[in-house]
Amino acid sequence: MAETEKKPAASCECGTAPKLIFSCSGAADVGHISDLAARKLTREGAGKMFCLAGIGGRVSGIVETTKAASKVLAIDGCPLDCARKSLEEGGFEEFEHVRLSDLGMEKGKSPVSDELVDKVAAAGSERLVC
Amino acid sequence: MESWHHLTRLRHCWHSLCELHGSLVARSTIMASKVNRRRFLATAATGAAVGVAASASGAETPSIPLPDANTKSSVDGAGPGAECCRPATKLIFACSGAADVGKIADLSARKLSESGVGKMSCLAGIGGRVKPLMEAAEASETILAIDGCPLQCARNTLEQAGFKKFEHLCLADIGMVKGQTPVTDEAVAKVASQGKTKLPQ
Repeated sequence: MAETEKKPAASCECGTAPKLIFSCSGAADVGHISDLAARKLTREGAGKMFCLAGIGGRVSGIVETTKAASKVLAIDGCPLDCARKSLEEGGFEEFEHVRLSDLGMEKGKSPVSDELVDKVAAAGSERLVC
Repeated sequence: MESWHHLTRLRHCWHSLCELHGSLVARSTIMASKVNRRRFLATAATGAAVGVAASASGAETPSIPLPDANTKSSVDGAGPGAECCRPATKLIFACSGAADVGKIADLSARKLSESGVGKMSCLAGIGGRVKPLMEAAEASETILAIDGCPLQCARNTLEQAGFKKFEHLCLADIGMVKGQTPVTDEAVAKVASQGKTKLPQ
Protein backbone atom coordinates (compact mmCIF):
# COMPACT_ATOMS: atom_id res chain seq x y z
CA MET A 1 0.00 0.00 0.00
CA ALA A 2 2.77 2.33 0.98
CA GLU A 3 4.58 1.40 -2.20
CA THR A 4 1.59 2.37 -4.32
CA GLU A 5 1.48 5.77 -2.69
CA LYS A 6 5.18 6.35 -3.24
CA LYS A 7 5.33 5.41 -6.88
CA PRO A 8 7.88 7.34 -8.93
CA ALA A 9 6.84 10.84 -9.89
CA ALA A 10 7.40 10.11 -13.58
CA SER A 11 4.68 7.47 -13.59
CA CYS A 12 1.90 9.71 -12.35
CA GLU A 13 -1.07 10.24 -14.62
CA CYS A 14 -0.74 13.94 -15.29
CA GLY A 15 -0.52 13.49 -19.03
CA THR A 16 2.25 12.63 -21.40
CA ALA A 17 3.88 16.04 -21.35
CA PRO A 18 7.27 15.87 -19.70
CA LYS A 19 8.35 17.46 -16.47
CA LEU A 20 11.31 19.65 -17.26
CA ILE A 21 14.19 20.56 -14.98
CA PHE A 22 16.34 23.63 -15.49
CA SER A 23 19.43 24.19 -13.39
CA CYS A 24 21.42 27.40 -13.24
CA SER A 25 24.62 25.33 -13.69
CA GLY A 26 26.56 28.33 -12.45
CA ALA A 27 30.30 28.62 -12.03
CA ALA A 28 30.34 28.30 -8.24
CA ASP A 29 30.19 25.12 -6.19
CA VAL A 30 26.44 25.55 -5.66
CA GLY A 31 25.98 26.00 -9.41
CA HIS A 32 27.81 22.76 -10.04
CA ILE A 33 25.69 20.99 -7.42
CA SER A 34 22.48 22.27 -9.03
CA ASP A 35 23.71 20.98 -12.39
CA LEU A 36 24.54 17.53 -11.02
CA ALA A 37 21.23 17.36 -9.14
CA ALA A 38 19.28 18.06 -12.34
CA ARG A 39 21.18 15.28 -14.12
CA LYS A 40 20.54 12.92 -11.23
CA LEU A 41 16.81 13.66 -11.28
CA THR A 42 16.83 12.89 -15.00
CA ARG A 43 18.57 9.55 -14.44
CA GLU A 44 16.08 8.68 -11.75
CA GLY A 45 13.15 9.50 -14.02
CA ALA A 46 11.71 12.25 -11.83
CA GLY A 47 11.80 14.59 -14.79
CA LYS A 48 13.98 15.57 -17.70
CA MET A 49 16.82 18.02 -17.48
CA PHE A 50 16.51 20.63 -20.18
CA CYS A 51 18.79 23.36 -21.50
CA LEU A 52 18.28 26.65 -19.67
CA ALA A 53 20.50 28.34 -22.24
CA GLY A 54 17.85 27.48 -24.81
CA ILE A 55 15.41 29.65 -22.88
CA GLY A 56 17.89 32.50 -22.55
CA GLY A 57 18.73 32.16 -26.23
CA ARG A 58 15.04 31.91 -27.26
CA VAL A 59 15.77 28.71 -29.17
CA SER A 60 12.32 27.95 -30.55
CA GLY A 61 12.35 24.16 -30.12
CA ILE A 62 13.34 24.44 -26.47
CA VAL A 63 10.92 27.29 -25.72
CA GLU A 64 8.01 25.42 -27.34
CA THR A 65 8.76 22.17 -25.51
CA THR A 66 8.91 24.09 -22.24
CA LYS A 67 5.53 25.69 -22.93
CA ALA A 68 4.10 22.21 -23.41
CA ALA A 69 5.63 20.77 -20.23
CA SER A 70 3.33 19.49 -17.51
CA LYS A 71 5.63 20.89 -14.87
CA VAL A 72 8.80 22.96 -14.78
CA LEU A 73 11.37 22.98 -12.00
CA ALA A 74 14.11 25.59 -11.73
CA ILE A 75 17.12 24.87 -9.51
CA ASP A 76 19.19 27.85 -8.45
CA GLY A 77 22.50 27.64 -6.66
CA CYS A 78 22.53 31.06 -5.06
CA PRO A 79 20.15 33.89 -4.19
CA LEU A 80 20.84 35.65 -7.49
CA ASP A 81 18.17 33.28 -8.84
CA CYS A 82 19.53 33.30 -12.39
CA ALA A 83 17.53 30.25 -13.47
CA ARG A 84 14.28 31.70 -12.14
CA LYS A 85 14.95 35.05 -13.75
CA SER A 86 15.95 33.43 -17.02
CA LEU A 87 12.62 31.57 -17.14
CA GLU A 88 10.73 34.72 -16.23
CA GLU A 89 12.57 36.68 -18.93
CA GLY A 90 11.50 33.94 -21.30
CA GLY A 91 7.87 34.51 -20.38
CA PHE A 92 7.37 31.62 -17.97
CA GLU A 93 5.48 32.53 -14.84
CA GLU A 94 4.47 29.30 -13.20
CA PHE A 95 7.14 26.87 -12.16
CA GLU A 96 8.57 25.16 -9.15
CA HIS A 97 11.74 26.55 -7.64
CA VAL A 98 14.50 25.13 -5.47
CA ARG A 99 17.23 27.40 -4.15
CA LEU A 100 20.29 25.75 -2.63
CA SER A 101 20.86 28.58 -0.16
CA ASP A 102 17.42 27.76 1.25
CA LEU A 103 18.70 24.25 1.89
CA GLY A 104 21.63 25.61 3.88
CA MET A 105 24.19 25.49 1.09
CA GLU A 106 26.27 28.61 0.97
CA LYS A 107 28.02 29.73 -2.19
CA GLY A 108 31.74 29.11 -1.99
CA LYS A 109 31.40 26.99 1.12
CA SER A 110 29.61 23.94 -0.24
CA PRO A 111 32.09 21.53 -1.79
CA VAL A 112 30.47 19.30 -4.38
CA SER A 113 29.64 15.95 -2.84
CA ASP A 114 27.23 13.09 -3.44
CA GLU A 115 25.44 14.00 -0.21
CA LEU A 116 24.70 17.56 -1.27
CA VAL A 117 23.67 16.50 -4.76
CA ASP A 118 21.32 13.90 -3.23
CA LYS A 119 19.87 16.50 -0.88
CA VAL A 120 19.09 18.88 -3.76
CA ALA A 121 17.73 16.07 -5.91
CA ALA A 122 15.43 15.01 -3.07
CA ALA A 123 14.12 18.55 -2.67
CA GLY A 124 13.62 18.78 -6.43
CA SER A 125 11.88 15.43 -6.60
CA GLU A 126 9.35 16.58 -3.99
CA ARG A 127 8.48 19.61 -6.09
CA LEU A 128 7.96 17.48 -9.18
CA VAL A 129 5.40 15.17 -7.61
CA CYS A 130 1.89 15.84 -8.90
CA MET B 1 63.61 96.29 -15.78
CA GLU B 2 65.70 93.47 -14.42
CA SER B 3 63.28 92.90 -11.60
CA TRP B 4 60.44 92.76 -14.15
CA HIS B 5 62.23 89.93 -16.01
CA HIS B 6 62.82 88.22 -12.73
CA LEU B 7 59.14 88.42 -11.91
CA THR B 8 58.11 87.02 -15.34
CA ARG B 9 60.46 84.08 -14.94
CA LEU B 10 59.05 83.39 -11.51
CA ARG B 11 55.53 83.47 -12.98
CA HIS B 12 56.52 80.94 -15.66
CA CYS B 13 58.00 78.70 -13.02
CA TRP B 14 54.82 78.90 -10.97
CA HIS B 15 52.66 77.99 -14.02
CA SER B 16 54.89 75.05 -14.83
CA LEU B 17 54.59 73.80 -11.28
CA CYS B 18 50.79 74.15 -11.45
CA GLU B 19 50.62 72.17 -14.72
CA LEU B 20 52.82 69.46 -13.30
CA HIS B 21 50.61 69.21 -10.22
CA GLY B 22 47.47 69.05 -12.39
CA SER B 23 48.79 66.24 -14.56
CA LEU B 24 49.91 64.27 -11.51
CA VAL B 25 46.44 64.59 -9.94
CA ALA B 26 44.75 63.51 -13.19
CA ARG B 27 47.09 60.57 -13.51
CA SER B 28 46.49 59.38 -9.98
CA THR B 29 42.70 59.62 -10.57
CA ILE B 30 42.96 57.45 -13.69
CA MET B 31 45.09 54.94 -11.83
CA ALA B 32 42.60 54.85 -8.98
CA SER B 33 39.71 54.22 -11.36
CA LYS B 34 41.64 51.40 -12.99
CA VAL B 35 42.27 49.86 -9.61
CA ASN B 36 38.58 50.16 -8.75
CA ARG B 37 37.60 48.55 -12.06
CA ARG B 38 39.93 45.65 -11.42
CA ARG B 39 38.60 45.28 -7.90
CA PHE B 40 35.03 45.31 -9.22
CA LEU B 41 35.88 42.67 -11.78
CA ALA B 42 37.58 40.52 -9.22
CA THR B 43 34.46 40.61 -7.06
CA ALA B 44 31.64 40.60 -9.59
CA ALA B 45 33.01 38.44 -12.34
CA THR B 46 34.65 35.85 -10.25
CA GLY B 47 32.75 35.90 -7.01
CA ALA B 48 31.10 32.75 -8.24
CA ALA B 49 34.28 31.05 -9.25
CA VAL B 50 36.06 31.54 -5.96
CA GLY B 51 34.31 28.66 -4.37
CA VAL B 52 34.12 26.30 -7.28
CA ALA B 53 33.68 22.75 -6.26
CA ALA B 54 36.28 20.64 -4.62
CA SER B 55 35.41 17.39 -6.27
CA ALA B 56 33.11 15.98 -8.87
CA SER B 57 30.62 13.33 -7.96
CA GLY B 58 28.75 10.47 -9.54
CA ALA B 59 30.06 7.44 -11.34
CA GLU B 60 29.75 8.99 -14.79
CA THR B 61 31.55 12.15 -13.82
CA PRO B 62 35.22 12.26 -14.68
CA SER B 63 37.49 13.26 -11.88
CA ILE B 64 38.46 16.75 -12.72
CA PRO B 65 40.54 18.66 -10.23
CA LEU B 66 38.78 21.79 -9.11
CA PRO B 67 40.04 24.56 -6.87
CA ASP B 68 39.15 24.62 -3.23
CA ALA B 69 37.06 27.37 -1.71
CA ASN B 70 40.10 29.38 -0.70
CA THR B 71 41.77 29.40 -4.08
CA LYS B 72 42.14 33.01 -5.13
CA SER B 73 42.33 34.00 -8.74
CA SER B 74 45.40 35.65 -10.20
CA VAL B 75 43.29 38.79 -10.49
CA ASP B 76 43.69 39.26 -6.80
CA GLY B 77 47.36 39.78 -7.48
CA ALA B 78 50.13 40.46 -5.02
CA GLY B 79 51.12 43.91 -3.93
CA PRO B 80 50.29 47.31 -5.34
CA GLY B 81 52.76 46.98 -8.16
CA ALA B 82 50.82 44.10 -9.63
CA GLU B 83 47.84 46.31 -10.56
CA CYS B 84 49.09 47.43 -13.95
CA CYS B 85 50.25 43.99 -15.02
CA ARG B 86 47.23 41.91 -14.18
CA PRO B 87 45.85 39.68 -16.90
CA ALA B 88 42.86 40.86 -18.89
CA THR B 89 39.50 39.52 -17.83
CA LYS B 90 38.49 36.51 -19.85
CA LEU B 91 35.06 35.09 -19.15
CA ILE B 92 33.85 31.65 -20.18
CA PHE B 93 30.21 30.71 -20.61
CA ALA B 94 29.14 27.12 -21.21
CA CYS B 95 25.72 26.06 -22.41
CA SER B 96 25.76 23.37 -19.66
CA GLY B 97 23.00 21.61 -21.55
CA ALA B 98 21.28 18.39 -20.58
CA ALA B 99 22.97 16.18 -23.16
CA ASP B 100 26.40 14.56 -22.97
CA VAL B 101 27.91 17.38 -25.01
CA GLY B 102 26.31 19.94 -22.69
CA LYS B 103 27.95 18.32 -19.73
CA ILE B 104 31.30 18.21 -21.52
CA ALA B 105 30.92 21.92 -22.31
CA ASP B 106 30.16 22.58 -18.64
CA LEU B 107 33.09 20.57 -17.31
CA SER B 108 35.54 22.03 -19.79
CA ALA B 109 34.54 25.57 -18.74
CA ARG B 110 35.16 24.58 -15.11
CA LYS B 111 38.49 23.04 -16.09
CA LEU B 112 39.59 26.17 -17.95
CA SER B 113 38.53 28.26 -14.97
CA GLU B 114 40.42 26.05 -12.58
CA SER B 115 43.56 26.22 -14.68
CA GLY B 116 43.38 30.01 -14.75
CA VAL B 117 43.01 30.32 -18.51
CA GLY B 118 39.82 32.32 -17.97
CA LYS B 119 36.95 32.49 -15.52
CA MET B 120 33.75 30.56 -15.89
CA SER B 121 30.75 32.78 -15.34
CA CYS B 122 27.04 31.99 -15.12
CA LEU B 123 25.28 31.94 -18.48
CA ALA B 124 21.92 31.85 -16.69
CA GLY B 125 22.80 35.27 -15.31
CA ILE B 126 22.95 36.57 -18.86
CA GLY B 127 19.67 34.91 -19.81
CA GLY B 128 18.11 36.30 -16.64
CA ARG B 129 19.68 39.75 -17.14
CA VAL B 130 21.11 39.57 -13.63
CA LYS B 131 22.86 42.90 -13.12
CA PRO B 132 26.22 41.94 -11.57
CA LEU B 133 26.74 39.19 -14.12
CA MET B 134 25.71 41.40 -17.02
CA GLU B 135 28.06 44.14 -15.85
CA ALA B 136 30.94 41.72 -15.40
CA ALA B 137 30.41 40.41 -18.93
CA GLU B 138 30.24 43.94 -20.31
CA ALA B 139 33.47 44.84 -18.53
CA SER B 140 35.36 41.75 -19.67
CA GLU B 141 37.90 41.97 -22.41
CA THR B 142 37.24 38.59 -23.96
CA ILE B 143 34.29 36.22 -23.79
CA LEU B 144 34.31 32.59 -24.83
CA ALA B 145 31.02 30.76 -25.34
CA ILE B 146 31.13 26.97 -25.39
CA ASP B 147 28.17 25.23 -27.00
CA GLY B 148 27.55 21.52 -26.92
CA CYS B 149 25.40 21.20 -30.02
CA PRO B 150 24.49 23.11 -33.16
CA LEU B 151 21.47 24.73 -31.48
CA GLN B 152 24.09 27.11 -30.10
CA CYS B 153 22.09 28.13 -27.05
CA ALA B 154 25.04 29.84 -25.36
CA ARG B 155 25.78 31.93 -28.43
CA ASN B 156 22.10 32.81 -28.81
CA THR B 157 21.81 33.74 -25.12
CA LEU B 158 24.72 36.15 -25.38
CA GLU B 159 23.41 37.64 -28.61
CA GLN B 160 19.90 38.05 -27.21
CA ALA B 161 21.43 40.00 -24.35
CA GLY B 162 23.24 42.32 -26.76
CA PHE B 163 26.71 40.80 -26.82
CA LYS B 164 28.00 40.81 -30.36
CA LYS B 165 31.68 40.16 -30.11
CA PHE B 166 32.86 36.95 -28.49
CA GLU B 167 34.78 33.81 -29.22
CA HIS B 168 32.76 30.69 -29.85
CA LEU B 169 33.44 26.98 -29.64
CA CYS B 170 30.88 24.41 -30.72
CA LEU B 171 31.58 20.80 -29.80
CA ALA B 172 29.90 19.61 -32.98
CA ASP B 173 32.63 21.39 -34.93
CA ILE B 174 35.30 19.27 -33.27
CA GLY B 175 33.60 16.00 -34.03
CA MET B 176 31.52 15.55 -30.88
CA VAL B 177 28.04 14.35 -31.77
CA LYS B 178 25.17 14.92 -29.34
CA GLY B 179 24.10 11.67 -27.73
CA GLN B 180 27.12 9.81 -28.98
CA THR B 181 29.89 11.42 -26.97
CA PRO B 182 30.41 9.86 -23.55
CA VAL B 183 31.59 12.27 -20.89
CA THR B 184 35.24 11.39 -20.35
CA ASP B 185 38.34 13.16 -19.11
CA GLU B 186 39.70 12.99 -22.65
CA ALA B 187 36.67 14.67 -24.19
CA VAL B 188 36.72 17.41 -21.54
CA ALA B 189 40.46 17.93 -21.99
CA LYS B 190 40.02 18.17 -25.77
CA VAL B 191 37.36 20.88 -25.46
CA ALA B 192 39.35 22.74 -22.82
CA SER B 193 42.38 22.65 -25.08
CA GLN B 194 40.38 24.01 -28.02
CA GLY B 195 38.87 26.66 -25.77
CA LYS B 196 42.29 27.74 -24.60
CA THR B 197 43.38 28.48 -28.15
CA LYS B 198 40.44 30.83 -28.55
CA LEU B 199 41.43 32.93 -25.57
CA PRO B 200 44.33 35.38 -25.66
CA GLN B 201 47.36 34.11 -23.77
